[in-house]
Amino acid sequence: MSLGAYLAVSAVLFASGLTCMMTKRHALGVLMGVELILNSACLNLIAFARYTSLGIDGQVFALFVIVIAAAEAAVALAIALNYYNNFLTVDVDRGDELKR
Amino acid sequence: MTVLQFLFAVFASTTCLGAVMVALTQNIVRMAFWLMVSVASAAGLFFLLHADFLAAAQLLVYLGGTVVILVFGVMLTAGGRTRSLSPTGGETIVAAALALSLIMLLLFTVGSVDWERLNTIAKTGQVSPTAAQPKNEAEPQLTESSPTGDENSPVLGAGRKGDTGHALGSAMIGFRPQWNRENQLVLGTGYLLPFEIISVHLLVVLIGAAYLARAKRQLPSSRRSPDATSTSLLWDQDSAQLDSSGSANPALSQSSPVRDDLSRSQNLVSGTGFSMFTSDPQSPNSGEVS
Repeated sequence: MSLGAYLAVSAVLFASGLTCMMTKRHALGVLMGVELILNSACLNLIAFARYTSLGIDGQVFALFVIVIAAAEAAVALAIALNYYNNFLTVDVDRGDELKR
Repeated sequence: MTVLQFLFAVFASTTCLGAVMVALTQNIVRMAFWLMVSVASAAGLFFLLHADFLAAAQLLVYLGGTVVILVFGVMLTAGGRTRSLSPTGGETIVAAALALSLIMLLLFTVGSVDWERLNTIAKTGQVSPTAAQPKNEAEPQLTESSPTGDENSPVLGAGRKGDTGHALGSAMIGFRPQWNRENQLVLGTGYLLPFEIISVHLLVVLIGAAYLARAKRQLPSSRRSPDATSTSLLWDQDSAQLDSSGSANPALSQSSPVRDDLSRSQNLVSGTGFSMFTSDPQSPNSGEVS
């Protein structure tokens, strides 16, 4: 395995996550796309930490990415629940206002 | 094909399969399942990259926390209007074209860069291609032969097989021993301040999420609950008064309609069938019977 193989896997993850973010109309589906993109960034950082002189710094930043992803999921889920309480749907195409 | 290559093939294929199926599936619960497959396989890739602590954190935080939170969110928002949330045909075609062009661009970029040369430039600081073979440094070769060749990391811990916990922990509290280019062990700066910032950030985010997700509008059923407790208290009070005096106190039965209905039924009960219990002052269990 070389660095390029891991970067190719990360590229597939990124493209899938971006497609998921663009096409899904369920709010939590968009959130899953964001999780995939953050996961691909995490994989990139760890692969560079392994194969280049980045060292442990890449793993530290990957740890920060994981924490940021968890926090983002909590806030986005709270927003989705608030939106569902107000509009009884999670279709993001109807989400032109969050308050009524 | 070695064992590591086989494991890489398995984990990489399941990671990509899970990610693509997340993008393709329309059912939201199945999307959560495929996300779980993709994230777990990515944790396997982290293990292959000698990042043991991060792989465990990925399994714990993503599989144990984030995906479960997502599934709970799916279940909490499951009702409502049952419209189809799938994209239309034109949107699917545009998204597929964009995704394919993006992945072709990314793979072409990854394949066209000479990563080994960049790595040696970053390690030695010399741009000339004659410095492609770095001299052997203090750390011995810790890994078996890999295409990138030199596995000597300037940082303690990174590069050793499965020993990143100590290095990560000491970097988080501000100690990061590393080798500089003159092959000397120096104490680099760690990540104490970002660690504190991200912990405060996590606290603020959780408080904000609890503030956002609170129930603002009271439903009628939940608003009725304190009155229900007061009526049960009233019931005991009225029955006790029925037991003691034989009839309900009319002064207490004027405040609320619930109380009024209650005392009226009490009067009916005490007037018709249960007067033998209420007129007996020696019976200790008459309140429970009536």
